[in-house]
Formats: sequence, structure tokens, C-alpha cells
Amino acid sequence: MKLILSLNKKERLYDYVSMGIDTFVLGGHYSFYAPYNFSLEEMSQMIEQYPQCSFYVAMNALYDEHEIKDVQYYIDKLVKIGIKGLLFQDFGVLQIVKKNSYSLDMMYAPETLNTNAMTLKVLKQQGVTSAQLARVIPLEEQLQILQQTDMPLMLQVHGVEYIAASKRALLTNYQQASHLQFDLTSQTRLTIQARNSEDIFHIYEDQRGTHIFSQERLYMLDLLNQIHDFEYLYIETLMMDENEAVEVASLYSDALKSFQNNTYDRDVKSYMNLLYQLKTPLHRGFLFDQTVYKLEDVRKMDHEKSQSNH
Amino acid sequence: MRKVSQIINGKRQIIKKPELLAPAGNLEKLKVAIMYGADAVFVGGKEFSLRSQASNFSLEDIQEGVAFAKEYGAHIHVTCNIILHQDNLKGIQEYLKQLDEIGVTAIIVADPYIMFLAKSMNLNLEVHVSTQLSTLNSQAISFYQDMGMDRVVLGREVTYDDLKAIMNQVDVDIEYFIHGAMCIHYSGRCMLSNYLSRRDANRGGCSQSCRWYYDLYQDRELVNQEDDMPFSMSSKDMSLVHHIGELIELGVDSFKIEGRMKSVHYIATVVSAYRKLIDSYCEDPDAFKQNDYYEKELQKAANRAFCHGFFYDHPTQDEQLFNLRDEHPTQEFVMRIMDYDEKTHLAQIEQRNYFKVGDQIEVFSPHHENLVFKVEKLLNEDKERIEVANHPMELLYVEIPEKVLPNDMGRKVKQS
Ligand code: SF4
Repeated sequence: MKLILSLNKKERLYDYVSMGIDTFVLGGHYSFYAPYNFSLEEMSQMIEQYPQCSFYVAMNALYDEHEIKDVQYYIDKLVKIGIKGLLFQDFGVLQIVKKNSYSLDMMYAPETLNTNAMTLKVLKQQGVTSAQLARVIPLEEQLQILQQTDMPLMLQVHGVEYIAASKRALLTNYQQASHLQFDLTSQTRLTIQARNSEDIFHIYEDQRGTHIFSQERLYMLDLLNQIHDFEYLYIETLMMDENEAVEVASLYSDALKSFQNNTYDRDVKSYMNLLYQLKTPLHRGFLFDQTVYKLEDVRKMDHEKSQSNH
Repeated sequence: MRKVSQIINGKRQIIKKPELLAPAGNLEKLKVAIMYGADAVFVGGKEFSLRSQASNFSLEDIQEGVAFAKEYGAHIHVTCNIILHQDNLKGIQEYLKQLDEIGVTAIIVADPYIMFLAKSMNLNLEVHVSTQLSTLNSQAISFYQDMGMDRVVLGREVTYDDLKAIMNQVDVDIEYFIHGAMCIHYSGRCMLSNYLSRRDANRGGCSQSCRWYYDLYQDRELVNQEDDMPFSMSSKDMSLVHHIGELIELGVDSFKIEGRMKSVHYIATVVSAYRKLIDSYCEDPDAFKQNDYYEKELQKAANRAFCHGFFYDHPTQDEQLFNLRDEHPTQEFVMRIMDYDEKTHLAQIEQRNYFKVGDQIEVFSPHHENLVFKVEKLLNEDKERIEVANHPMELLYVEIPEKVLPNDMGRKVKQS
């Protein structure tokens, strides 16, 4: 069990390393989303400066045919500067790595698709070496997958949750249709709320399209007793300011140490109090919840909902 | 470059006609799709298929569908395209074996575990990679080819230029959407419905939450006030009716129509229009002239405006729906012809929606041009005169001056 964190600021790398965190995900030119996109030069400097650390790069978009050659050149450059691996969701990325026999840890992170152990076994045969589990399944199922899979797995333990992404410029299109003024590129200023729902989501636009994330941060600071067998516990710092990111990382890092020293059960309450003091919206996502699958379940749920509305 | 045409007797002719692949939510729709010209129909089984709300097929239904398709030289594809969760893992092998024994031509799959199983079981059926995997480039296609996949259904985000580049590089079958509703987000990567309604989009429960109305806030201040246009993420439906020739020339192997939840009228209208369009183009591609007929036909079964999706690149505001009033009812489907007596000019019909004496009806068919008549004589099952037809599925008689054929359909002509 070790922490892995999406790096939001180069200048805070020292703080994270001092806490004992040594594995980072870097955003770059081809990232789908990232708290910050580093240039190859910046990446290279960090790798040189912190040889004891492992750096993954988020190559986690779905790539169009016209950019796939450039993606290939980019991966080649990443290999040359010495990154540890890639977080990816496009099998085109995996294919490029396989064809060129690059030695990279290929972490399959398709946001929504890693929902069972058998599929991961098949993907291991195809060259996937580690994987991030989907967040839309209950903890119980995540633990089952952990038991039945023989590759390192990553679980997001903290941060905003990916909800959806579109290649379309949905905010620009809306702005043009409605003639309303708003800042569509800031990652944190805009939120949407469905008119029949309580949930609030962040929405922003960039050159890759439109991105929707939860406003609430998923948290598992108090669940280390259940999740300690996962290889990587991931902190998503997207949409956090640098202080929140450092505070959160520090809390989890202390909690991990306390777990290793067998004092976690005693200390967890105080960690949670410190987390609450950050005053960020927190939630459990699907950890203790279920989505429905069968039509009968959908009907039952709709019926219950209509009953409760009366 | 795929060889699509060749000169025969001094005239260029298309030698590689694409498959026209239609959706069907039940057996009636499957049969209509085939009768109206589909080369293949895709259906959802009761297990492992998305669209849990579409009336999915039992194995017996699929068997009947396969037998019916065989009579017409058509094929049945079965969607097994859910993303498996731990509790969906049981029973897949048995199910795939049964589909294979029934004679299904292909399964459409999104989960690599099902891909692996289907290939390792040495089945006869083909395995097609579902659009749920949002495959957009030749490297990803090559990955699936290495897994033994027989066809890749491309993501809807693939533009014409990218498609052209892909077609020049890959030698696996490529399926491309030409018509129907579109996910506005990357398919398989949208969890809006999961979060907003606890309905799993990747297991067929999507509540289409993208089409809902949203309030938009900036720094917690409401941006769209009550009188402003609500924020929504609803796409117009795609129709590539004006680009069929270009797609045929690229050698795309299969043209897919979306809509397993659509009506029998929709299936008949859309399949028939594309069948006629493809045939007409292939017959003499160099003399083919685009005209409005096909689009007008398609509009009769459309409840949303059409757009080109990503064909030309990024869809703009014109490709989106921001108001519910942009959705409109389709032209009303009122009858299906069961039989026709050429002596009395009486057609036996199965009534589908309300119509009355005096209404204008347009009959359309896979076999002849559309014809319009005014209802003058309407009889009940006992051949007594009646004025209105208002009991769905009732057998009635209508006088139609021109000859019509069994399985032709009639829709009410909108009075201006
Ligand atoms: S909410 Fe909309 S975009 Fe998302 S899966 Fe459903 S239909 Fe597709």
C-alpha cells in the first residue's frame, strides 16, 4: 500500500517527497485531464532531481486518428526521459507501447470500465501491467476484484470523481445559443445541477472537449483497514488548490504511517476531524451503494421514487 | 485502399456494397427491418445486453429471428455489450454457446473478457467490438485485431477524414454509424446516469440524463435565470443521408442504423430509405445525383432534427437541442397492410393509430413508390361501414385505389 498523487504544482514536489510519497502522476500535453500539464522539459527535470521517485504520465484520453502519430512520438520522448509508466484508457496507446517494446508500467485507467476481475486477467495477457478500478462499483466488489486479480491495482481514495467527458465544446455551444456570459475554461468556477437533483457537478472545457466531475471529494481516510491490500492509493488533486492538496496528502500519509505502526484505530478519529476542518464537500461515491442493472430493478426504483414523491 | 468499384462493360460499378445493419427491439421489428431491406439486424438478448429497457429477445425469439433472416439471406447480430461487474460473470459461456448453435452471425461485445471467451471457445460466430469502447484510431483497431476480433464498430467521434485514414490502414471489417440518436459524451465513459439516477449506463440502464435541463452556476451564482435558455447536453440525431456515396467509396463494411427502442414505423421508414439510396448509388455511382427524397422520407419518422454528428469535425450549437420544443412528433403510423383484393380494391389492414374517413394516407413499401390516397371507404371486420378506426391492432378494410402489398405501411399525411 503506497500513496500515488496527481501532481498539481512542481514547487510542492519537495513537500510531498518529505511526507514519504514517492509516486506521482504527471499531466502532459496528451492528458485527458490533469491538475496541471507539465512540459517534457519540466518532467525531465523532476525525474533528474528526484531519482528515488517514480513518475507516471497521464496519457488518458481517447485519441483521434489524426493525432495518433504524434502520440507515438510523444510516448517515445517520455520513454527517453525515463518515466515509469503510463495511465491510459485508449488501447491504441497500449498497442504503440507493445509494438515498440517499450518497457513501461501500463496502468489501464479507463475511469468506468474496470469492474470485474476476469476482464483484468484477460487484459494482463494483452500487456496491461496494472489497473485503476472503476469508482462506480461498491467497495465490496472492489475488494473481490483485488482478491481475484494478480496485478497491482490502484484505488482512488480521495478527490473529485470523473463523471463524463465529451469531445464536443458543450459550454461554447451553449454560450453561443443562449448569449449568456460565463467563464468556460476555469476548472472550478462553473457547476451544473440537474433541475430534479441535488447533485452538483463541476464542468469545464478545454481543447479536448468538455469535462464533468463531481464537486464532492471522494474520501477513504477512515477505511484503511479495508483497503490496505491495494498496491496504490490514489489522491486526485484536480480542482484542489495547492494547500488543500498538500493538507490532504499529509493526512493520508500520516494515516498510512499510523496504520503501519498499528496506531491507526486510535488515530483515525483525529485524522477525520482534521479532514472535516478543510471544509471541502466530501462523499462516499458508490462505495456503499449500488447501481441497478436489470429492468425490473429500474422499474422498482422508479416506483419507489414516485411513491416517495407523493 | 480498398477496392470498391470496377469498370464493367465500360461503366464503373460498385463491387463492394456495404451491409445495411438495422436495429430491432422485438421480432416484429426484426422481420420488418429485413423485409424493408436490411442485410443484417442487431438485437439484444435478455442477458448481457445494453438497452435493458428495449424489449429484449429470448433465445427462442433469436432462433426465430435467425430462421426468418436466413430466408432472406440476412444476418442476425446479438449485442452482448454490457461492461461486466462481478455478479454478471456467470453463465456467459453457456449463453455464447447457445447463440452460436442457433446460428447467430455475430455478437457485439464491449468487455474484453467476453471477447476472449468467444474466441477461445472456437465458435463460428464473429465477434464485433462495440461502439461502447469508443474506438477512434487505427492503433486501437490493431489491438482488437490482435485479439482476433472480426469487426470494429467505430466511435461516433470519428470524422470523415479520420475514417478515410483508418480505412486506408486497417484490414479488419469496419462498421460506422449512419443514422440515429447519439450519446453526447464518449460512449462507455459517461456516468451521468449512474450518479443522477443510480442507473448504470454501461449495463443498459441509462436514464438519458444528458438530455435533462440543468442550472448553470458560476462561483455559486446562477447564470441561467428562469427566462434564459436552460443548459442541456442533448444532441440532435445523426443522419448521414447526404454522405452515403462518400462512405460507400471508402469501402466501409457496414452502415449502422441506431434505435432498438424505436417503433416499427421508424424501422421501416429508415431502413427503406437507406436501402433505396444505397442501391441507387451502387447501380450507377457516377450518374448518381443527390436529391431531397431520401431526407424527406427519413424526416417522416424523425422526432428530432438531424445533424452530421462529427462527420465534418466538431459539432457546433447547431448540432444540439437546447429546447424540448425542438423535438416534434413523427408522422403518424396508422396501418399495416395485411392483404389486398385487386378486384374490390379493398385492403385488409391492421390498425395501429387513430384515423378516420376523409384522412389522407401515404402508403410506403420496400417494393414500390409511395402512394397517397384519401380514406373514402372504411369497413370493420364484418365489412360494415365505420367512420373511425380507433382500436389498435384491429383488423379492418380500407378501399385503396392503387395496388398495395402485404407489409406495406400507411401513415397519416399531415394536413397543412
Ligand atoms: S446520459 Fe446521455 S451521453 Fe450519457 S450514456 Fe446516457 S445517453 Fe449517453
